[in-house]
Formats: sequence, structure tokens, C-alpha cells
Amino acid sequence: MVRYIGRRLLQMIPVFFGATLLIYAMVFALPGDPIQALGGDRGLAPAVADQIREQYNLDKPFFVQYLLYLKGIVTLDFGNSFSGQPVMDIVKRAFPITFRLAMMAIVFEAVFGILFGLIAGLRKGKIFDATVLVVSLLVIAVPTFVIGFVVQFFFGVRLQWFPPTVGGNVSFESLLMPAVVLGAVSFAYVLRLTRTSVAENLSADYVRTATAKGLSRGRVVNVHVLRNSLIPVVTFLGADLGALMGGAIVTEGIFNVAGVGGTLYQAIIRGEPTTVVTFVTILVVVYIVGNLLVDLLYAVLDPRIRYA
Amino acid sequence: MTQSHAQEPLLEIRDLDVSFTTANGEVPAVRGANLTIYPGQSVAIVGESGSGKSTTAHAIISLLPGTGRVTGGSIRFEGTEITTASKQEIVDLRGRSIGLVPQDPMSNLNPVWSIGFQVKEALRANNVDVTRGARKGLESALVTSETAVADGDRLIGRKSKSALLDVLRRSLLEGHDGKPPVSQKTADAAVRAADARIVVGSTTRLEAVNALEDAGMATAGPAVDAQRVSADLDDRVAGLLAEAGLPDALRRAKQYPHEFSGGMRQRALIAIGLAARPKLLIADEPTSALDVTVQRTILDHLEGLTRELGTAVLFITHDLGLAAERAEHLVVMYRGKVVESGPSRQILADPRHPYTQRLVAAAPSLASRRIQSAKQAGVQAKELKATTGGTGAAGGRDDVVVVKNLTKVFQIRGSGKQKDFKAVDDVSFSLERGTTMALVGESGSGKSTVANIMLNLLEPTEGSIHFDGVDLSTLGSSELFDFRRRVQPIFQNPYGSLDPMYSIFRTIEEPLRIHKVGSKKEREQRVRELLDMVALPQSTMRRFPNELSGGQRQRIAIARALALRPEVIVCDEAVSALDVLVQAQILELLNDLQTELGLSYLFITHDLAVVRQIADRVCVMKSGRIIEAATTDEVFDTPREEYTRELLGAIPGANLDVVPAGLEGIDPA
Repeated sequence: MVRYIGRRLLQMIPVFFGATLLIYAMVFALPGDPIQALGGDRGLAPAVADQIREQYNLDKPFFVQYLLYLKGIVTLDFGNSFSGQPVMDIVKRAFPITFRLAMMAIVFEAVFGILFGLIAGLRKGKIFDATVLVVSLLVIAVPTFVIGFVVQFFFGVRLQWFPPTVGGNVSFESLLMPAVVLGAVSFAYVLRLTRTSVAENLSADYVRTATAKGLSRGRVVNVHVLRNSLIPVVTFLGADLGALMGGAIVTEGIFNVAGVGGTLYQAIIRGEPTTVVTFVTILVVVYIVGNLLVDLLYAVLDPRIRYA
Repeated sequence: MTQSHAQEPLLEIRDLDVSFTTANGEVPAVRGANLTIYPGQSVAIVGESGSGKSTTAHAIISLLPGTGRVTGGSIRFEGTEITTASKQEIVDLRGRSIGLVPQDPMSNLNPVWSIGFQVKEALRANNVDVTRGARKGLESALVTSETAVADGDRLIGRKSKSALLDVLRRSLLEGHDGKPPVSQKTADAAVRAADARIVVGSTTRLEAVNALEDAGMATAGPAVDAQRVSADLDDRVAGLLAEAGLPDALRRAKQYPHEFSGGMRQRALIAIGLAARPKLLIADEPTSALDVTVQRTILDHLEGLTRELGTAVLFITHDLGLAAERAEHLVVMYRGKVVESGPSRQILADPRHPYTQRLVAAAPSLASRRIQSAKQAGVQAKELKATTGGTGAAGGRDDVVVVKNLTKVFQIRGSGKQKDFKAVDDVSFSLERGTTMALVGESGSGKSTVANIMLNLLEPTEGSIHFDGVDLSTLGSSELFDFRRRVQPIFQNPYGSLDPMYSIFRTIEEPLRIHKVGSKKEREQRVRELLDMVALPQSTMRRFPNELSGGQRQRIAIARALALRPEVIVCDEAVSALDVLVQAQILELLNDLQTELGLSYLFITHDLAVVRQIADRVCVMKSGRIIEAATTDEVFDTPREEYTRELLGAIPGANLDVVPAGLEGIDPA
């Protein structure tokens, strides 16, 4: 087990170098000159532009730039953004917010998705099941920005139950609405996955055996149906964690959350290699660690899986 | 041990109707079934799949699948009407009054919980007092034939056991109560004997005293009394598993189902079914998925256990031999109706209903001779050829396949280290043209590996196979293609060996197309011919596998194998998944085809009863080696090896002396 985790962590090293190199190359290949763009319509004086280029190593060949960036990382210097702010400061500001948002979203989709999916699976073909299926289909079909604006308008502006935007006030209440919107689509998927899985396991032979033992219905469902049904759901949730961390651009935009998505989007537009590479690399690491956790959880849920 | 019928029946089913609701309305599965079981009696429901036998059994504990429901009649258990009982009453009944041992040990244990946990649940759910192994408030249970559990007696736990064994060893070594000390060796032997007799969680204190005194301790009573700790839940779980015949139960209980073999899982399921000491145990095809020898030990064990406990048993089986051997009373079901019922021997000796007569005639375990009808013609033809020198083979014997010193080693990746596993070990045999050779053995004996090597699906590690005089290992790719045309397989599972997306026509035509045989029209003609050959209507062509029954599918598989006019057919458990009657039909079909087309069969099976019906020669395999090879009659009449005798003895119904007398009148031969 320890060896397995060690091996998985070692695998992160090549992934780290590969990811940074790839992203660096892609930002390098972006069309347009980021420095000229800083000057807006009037443009920068050639001397100023050259100075900025030198400051950010943009005058050097690609590989030299990349190696200089790596050298900085080794000394824990992640470089500065074009506005002169250390990238690490931006990371420290953006990631905690997004992390909280993603966690709230994932708890929401896991708890409600599994709960509704379980009930729907147990009552397959009944009215609850039919309703839930239609609603979840709607949630999947309607784009996030539509759901986002509708929810914001009704609960934030009209009813004023929640603050309509987050802004600088990052509290549990203000993040609640964005978290639900962010987790809505995955919630629908988790629900459907759980429902199918439960309905399928319900007719498994071992469930009949458990019933024949004299167990109560509740115990049969909790002990024998639910645990077996959660195995595919856990896989989905693990992969989703990575997606929620990086892919919240639309939701963060609607609710004005100063998180990873928005910051990354701005950095890409500005063509800032240091910010983009650092952010994406952190996301890659989060994704890998998330997957590792899922694999470990998998082994807890299913004893047939043993890592050596 | 037939009970006096003056007793109140334990279970009484009267005019039971069960229906399933489908898109096309109600489909009756059981129609007016009647059945009575007295306490301690063993009854078997016999019938083919779809006869309603399992449905009847499931109705008893209200476990009908899907849309099934009881539409009429009554089921009374100890006077309580089950069909109208409340949900809670049914839950109370399950496990504690009526236990179930389900059919397929592979799928009936939850893969994510340990075996011990799953047994423990059965104890907890039914409120069993683990210290006594009995249900609280009901002192009925755990009665061995000679030692009734005295009031207040308890089960020995693992702590008490090790303490007692220590006391025993010390007393013996030091001498006690005037007895002289014994040698280390004697003491060790005595402790070992006591160790084997005291089963944690199953042996009572009274029995422990006996065991210790038998091991040489003068007065064991006080020592046992000194043990204050009695069995806990884990001890009892181990005890139950040990009672069901699972060795090393304390350790095994912590393992998961995937670490158990099929036989071990079935033992665990028996332990679960009997955990709360029910009065009735429903055993639904309890061993049909297991090897014959395992089947025998498990059934013997189940019989002993239920007899000791006084449990009534309801067997559900398609195997008439097994039913007759294990049950006192038989109930034969056919298309949802009980067509005949009565004492086992009477039904076997004098079946009244035509269906029962067919069943008795077809029961492979009871039929004791080679299928003859068409075969005789074949023998005559062969003799004729032999006398006229028609075969052209030099020595008179024409071997189409010669296997020499075949060995196959698999590398198993264990915990870090690589281990070699010899699946096939120095196997040699030859298959004479136009005859059937059977390779018999339990699972793991290597017989399927031999089949796969013969089909050239696996490379042998050592040794050679000559097909029609040519060494298989020397074949190039185009020659191999030709070889495939001449050797065809039929596999065990007719559900898995046909592509569900292919129509029957496409399934049978595919080999013809791949081998570029004939024009499109000719191929279609050939498919029609083949369907005729396997006695299926030509209209079957347009249907899909899921619309056919198991027997029909196996006929399709045979038609596909025959499409290319092969010389040798390798049948890997080709009839094992089929009901007896269908099995008999398929075997007859294979036999007729052999006579007509001069086919040679290599028949891989674990079922000796089938071997007797189809094979000319038999090789018995055990752990990768052929331990006995002879003609079928020799193997059955004068088996040389102990193992062969064991296999023969394990055929259900083999020892029923009533059978030949009963068969004489019906056998068509």
C-alpha cells in the first residue's frame, strides 16, 4: 500500500515537467505580442517594451525562458505577473476561494445526487423516479450560464435570500448559490448514475440472499445495495473534483467570484506565461492527487481491489 | 426417518397460483401446485427450467422476483398463512424459521463484505443468542443426536479453547489425579486430538469435557467450569462455518468471497442459511454449479447437519438422480403444474406421468449405456469398411489427432514473486477417426487447457499435437487457416458463445464467408441445410440469439461448428449448461451427426454421466495429468484408480439400486 502511494507520487514528477513544458510552449505560441498589448491603442515606446521584455525574460529563446522559469520554481520564486504582483500572491488569493467553492459543490452533488438517486432507484418507474429523471435531464440540457443567471435573479435579486454576487465578501452564504449552480450538472449525473446502479444491484442475487437471511429492508438497502452502488459514483466524483477546480469560469463570472477560473482566463488573455503555467500546474497536481484519493477510496469500498 | 404423518405439517401449499405481469398481460408460472412438508422431512421439487420449481420455492419466503405475485391458493407455514402475512411477519419468518441456500455460490455473496460479516448479519438479524447458538427464547436448536444442550450449557470460545488445551497439556506432562506424567510425544498427540474435536463456537462445554477426558485428562469438568468466557459473535460465526465444513474457519471468516472457491462459498451460504436454526431449509439447486466430488461432500454435509438439527429440507433441482438420492419425497413439476408426487423410490421405479417417464429415461445419472439407436448403424458401417479395407489406414486404426507429452506451464504473478503452475503435465492420447474421446476431470484439472491447445488457441510449453499426421507447431498462417476449418469448437455457455447482435443466419454464415466458401446463394442454401441438420426450422435464420432457448442456441452453435464440414469437433462442456431433457436431445443429435458425417469428437466434461452416453474412450485427468485412460465400459465397470472411483461414486443417484429395474420398462433402446 505504502509502496503503491509512493509510486503514484513519484509518477507526479514527470507529469509536472511535462505539463509545465507543454503549457509554457502553448502560451509562447499564442498569437500577438503581449507586451505591445499592455500599451493599449497607443502602444509602448520601443525602449520601454524592450525593458519589460528583458525583465520578464521574453527576449530570450523559448527553452532558455522555460529553464529560467524552472530555476525560479526550484528557489520557490514563481515569478511576477505583468502587473508586478508575485504569482504566488495571486495563487494564495484565488485558490482558497475556488477550493471552498468546489468543495461545497461536490458535497452538494454527492449528498443530494446519491440521496435522490437512491430513492429513485428504489422506486424505479414510480412518480418520484419519473419526476427526478425529467428534472435531471433539464439540468443537464440547459447551459450553466442560463441556470446561473436565473438562480441569481430569483434567489439573489427578487427574493434576496442570498447575496447576488460574492465579490470581496467570501462567506458560506454568499458561496452557497454559486456552489449549487456549479454542482448542478454533476448533481444530475451523480443522481442518474446512482439510480441506475441501485436499480441494477437491487436485483443482484446477493441482495436476495441478504433478504432471505431475515434482514430488514433498510439494512439490506444500506449495507448491501448502497455500498456496491457507490463504486462507480465515487469514480465520477473524483474526476469531477478536478473539473470543478479549473472549469468554474462561467459560474465565477456570473457571481463575481475572484477565483481560479476568472484569474486564469484573464492571464491567458494577457499571455502571461508565469501565471498561466503556475495555475495550470497546480490544477494538474490537484487532479492527480484527487485521482489518487479516488483510487484509494475505491480499495476501501471494494475489497477485490488491492494495490501492491 | 419418515415422520409419522399424524403430525401437523410444517409447510402446506394448496392450489398455489403464481403469475408474472408482462407487457402481454399475466403469464402464469405456477398453476395449482400442492405440496406438504412435515417437520424434519426432506422433499425435492424436480423439473426443468421454467417448470415453476424455483418460483414455488421463492413464493414460500415471499421473494418472487420482479412482477411475480401469488394470485391464488394458500401457503401455510406452521399454521400461519404466508400469502396474506404482513411485511414484518415475513421478515421475521425469513432466516429464523425458513432458511435459504441459493443456487449460484458465485453471485450470492456480496463481494464487498467479508464472509464472517455476512454470516454475522444472519445471527444479528435473527436475534440469536451466540453463547448458546440458539435463538433467544427458543431452546430448540443445536441438538446433536446424543448430546442435547443441557440448560445453561454454553459454546466454547477461542480464548477458552486455548486455555483448555494448555491445561490439558500441562496436566498430561506433569501427571495429575494419580495419573503418571506422559511423554512429550504422547501429550502432543493428545492435544492435537482434542484440538480437532473442540470447534470454537460450535462445541458445547459438555462436549468439551468429553473431548478432554477422551484425550486422557482424568477429570476435565472443573477445568471447563473454570472458563468464564463463552463464545462471542466471531466465535459463533467460525463455529457455523466449521459446521458447514469450512476448514480453518476462524481465519477464513475474515476473507472476502473472491478469495473463496465455489465449494467454499457454497459452504458459507449453507452456514448462513442454517445460522438461525430454521425449521425449514430451502436448497435451490445448491450444488449445480459445482464439481461432482465437491457436490457430493457438500450434500453429504448438508444432509448430516440438517438431520442432526432436525431441519426439514426442500430441494429444488433439475437433477432427478440428485433428488432421488437426497430426498424422501419427490414432487415433479412441469409447466407450472405438479404432475406427480410421492416417495422417491416409488416415482423412480414406477413413474406414472409421461413427463416423469421421460425425465427418468433421460436422467443422465441414471441412464447407464451409450446412446445406441443411430450408433449401431455406424458401428456396422465401420465394420463393413474394415472388412473391405475401406479406411485405408495402415494399421487399421486411423488416429486423426495424436497428442504427445503435452505440457503447459503458466506463470502466476503472486506477491512479487513469479510462480510456475503446470496446468497440463505430460499428457498423451490419441483420437481415432469417427469416435468420441472424453476428457474428464474437475475444474482445475487442466482439461480445458488441453482443449485450447488442441484448437491452437494456446501454445504448448512442451510436447506436440499431430493433426492428421501434421505437427501443429509447424503450421504457417495459411495452413493454420485451413486447420481451423477442419477443427471446430462448441463451447459450454450457449448464451455467451453467440454474438447477440448477429442474426442466426449471419452467425452460421460467418465461417463460410471468412473461408470464402461458395457464392452468396450457395451459402444461404448451406445455412438452410445446417438448420435442417440440427432440427431447427429454417425460419430460425432471421431470428436473434436472445429469442431462442438454451437448447436451441446450443443447436445453433453446433450448426455453426458444422458449417465448414470439419473433421474434429472439440466440445468443451457442450451440454453442461443445459437441462437434462435438452441435454439428452443434444447428445443424441451429436451422436447422429457423428454417424452421418464421420465426425470425431473430443468431449471435455466434468460430468461422467454424460461421458457414459457419448464417449467411446475416456481419459480421466487430475491436476494436469491423465491418471486413467481406457474404453468407457472399462472405466465405468472396472475403474482402476481410486480417484476415478470417487468421481463415479459422486454421480448423484449412482448408488440407487432401484434404478435399473425402474428403467427397463421405459428405455427405448
